[in-house]
Amino acid sequence: MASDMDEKARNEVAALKERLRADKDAATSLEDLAGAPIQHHFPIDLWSLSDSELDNEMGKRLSFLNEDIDCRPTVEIASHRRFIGPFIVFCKKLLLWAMRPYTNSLFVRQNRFNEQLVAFHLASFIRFRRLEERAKRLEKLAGETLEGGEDEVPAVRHD
Amino acid sequence: MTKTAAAASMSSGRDLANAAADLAARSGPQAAYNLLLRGEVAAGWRKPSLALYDHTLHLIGGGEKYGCTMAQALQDDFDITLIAHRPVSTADLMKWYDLDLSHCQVKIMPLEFFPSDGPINPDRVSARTENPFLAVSRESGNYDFFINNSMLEMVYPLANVSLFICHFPERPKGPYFYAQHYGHLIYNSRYTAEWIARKWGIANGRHIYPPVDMEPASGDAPKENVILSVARFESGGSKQQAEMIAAFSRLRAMAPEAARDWRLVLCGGSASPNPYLERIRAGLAAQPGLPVELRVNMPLAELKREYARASIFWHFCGLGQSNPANVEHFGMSTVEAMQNGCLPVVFDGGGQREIVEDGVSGFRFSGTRELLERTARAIGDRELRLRLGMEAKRRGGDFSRAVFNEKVRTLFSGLAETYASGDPL
Repeated sequence: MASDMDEKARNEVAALKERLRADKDAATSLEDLAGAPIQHHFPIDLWSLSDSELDNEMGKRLSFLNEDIDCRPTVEIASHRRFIGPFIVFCKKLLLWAMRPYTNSLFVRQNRFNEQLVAFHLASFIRFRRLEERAKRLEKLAGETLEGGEDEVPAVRHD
Repeated sequence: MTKTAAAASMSSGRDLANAAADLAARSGPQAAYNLLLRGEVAAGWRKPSLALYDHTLHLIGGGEKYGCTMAQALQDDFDITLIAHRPVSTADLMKWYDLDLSHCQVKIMPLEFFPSDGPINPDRVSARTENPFLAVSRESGNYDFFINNSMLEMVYPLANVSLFICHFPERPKGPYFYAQHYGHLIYNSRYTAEWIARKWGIANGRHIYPPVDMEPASGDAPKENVILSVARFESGGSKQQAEMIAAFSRLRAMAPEAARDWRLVLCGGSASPNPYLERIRAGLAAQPGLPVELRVNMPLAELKREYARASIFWHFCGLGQSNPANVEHFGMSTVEAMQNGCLPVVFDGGGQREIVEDGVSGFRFSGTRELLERTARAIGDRELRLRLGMEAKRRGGDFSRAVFNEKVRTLFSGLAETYASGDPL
C-alpha cells in the first residue's frame, strides 16, 4: 500500500517535472527562468584594469568603432496597419528617396569622418604599443645594469 | 526551499506537486522545478545530480584536471555529468589525468557562436553580442548541483546549489557578469582570492589547493646535477625560459668551478608553430657549449624521470611582470618538483609564496641577482640541497591528491546533507 502511494507520488512529480521542463524551454529570457530581474552588464572601470586588460579593451572598442563606421540608417520601413499599410510604406520610401540627395551628402561626410577617426585611433594604438615595447626593453636593460652587469650571453628576445 | 516544503515532499508527492505549482505561478518554472528536484533527493528517491561545466574540457590543462579530480572524488555520491562544448570522452579524460571517471558521463553542447575550428574565446563576447553561454545557464537548471569549473562568469547558475571554481579572475567585471549569483566560490590559492576580491568585489569563498600527484612511484632516485624547469613554452614568453638560459649562463660565469658539471633542462609543452620556442632554439644553436637541453611535449613517464633526477627546480613566472595575470596563480609544477625532492628556487610572487617556505623548503627570489646567489649557494653545498630537498618533499605532500579529495568530500558531504535535509542552503 505504502509503496503504491510512493509510486503514485513519484509519477505525479515526474509528470509535473515534464510540464515545468517544457515551460523552462519556452522561457525566452533568464529573467523568466530566474523569476527575478537580473543585472547583465556592469560598466567597466577602465582605471582598475591591468595593462593587458586595457589592451584587450582598447582592441574591442576599436573594433566596435570600426563596425559602426557606416552610419546610414538600416531601419526597415514597415507599417502595422492592415489595409493602408502598403500605402504608408510606399509614401515613406518615396519621402526617403526624395530626401536622398540631401541626406546622402551628410552621411558620406559623417562616414568619411568616422573612417578617419578609426584610422587615427588605430595609428595611435600602434604607436603607443611600439613606445611601450621600447620602454620595456629600456627598463629591462636598466634592471640588468643595476643587478651587476649584462648577461655574458644575450638573452633571447621575445618581442 | 523551506524545511516545511522538504517535509511535504517526503510525506506526499501531491503536496510537493501543489507547492511546486504555486511556486511556478509566483516565481517562474525554474524555482518550481528546483523544488521538485530537491524534494526527490529529500525523499530519498535518487542521488543528487551534479553537472560540472568546463568550456575547455576538450583540452589538457591544470584547471581541467582540477575539475576532473573533483568529479572522481564525488562520483560515488552524486550522479555526475561533465558538460563540454567540443568532443571529448571520459576515456580521454581518464587517460590524460590518470583518473577513474567510470561513473561519470559527458554531455557535449556545441556552441554555434564560436567557429568550430577556432578556440572558444569568451573575450569575443561583449554587451553588443548575444550571450552564447545562455545555453549552459539553461542546462545548469536541470541538476541539483552545478559546478562552473571554467571561471567563466558569463554562465548564470540556475541549479539549487551552485559553485564557482576560480583559478584566476581573467576578465574584469563587465558584460554578462554573473559570478556573484553563485552560492559558493572556490579558489585555488590565496593569491587568486585576493584578486577575486579586488577585481570582482567577491570576498567570501573557500580555499582548495589543486591536486598534485607526482610523487615517485618507486622510492627516491639518485639526484644528478640538473637544474630543471617545467613550464609551457608560451608564445608570449610569460614562463621566461629565455631568461632562464641567460641566467644559467651568468651562473656559470659567476661560479665557474661549482657550476661546471651542471645542466639546465627545460621541459614543457608547446603548440606548433611557436615562434618563441624557435627563437630559443636559435639562441641555443648560437651557444653550442652551453649545457642546456630542451624537452618539448615529452611523455609523462619521461617527465617523471626528469623530476626524479633533478636536484634544483627553477620557476621564473612573474619575474618583472606588472600584470597580475602573468604571475603564477598557484604553481603546480613547483609542487611536482618538490614532491620529487628537488630544491625549488622560485620567483617570490603569486601562489609560489604559499608553496615554498623561503629558507625552509626552498628559496624564493625577487630579482636575478638573488636567484643567482641562492642557486650558487645550493649547487655549492650538497648538504643544504639534500636538507632543503627533504623539506620540499614534506611540503609537497601538503598538496597531494588525497588532501584535495578529503577537502572536496568534506565540502560536498556537508552541502549534500543540508540539501537533503531541507535546511536553508
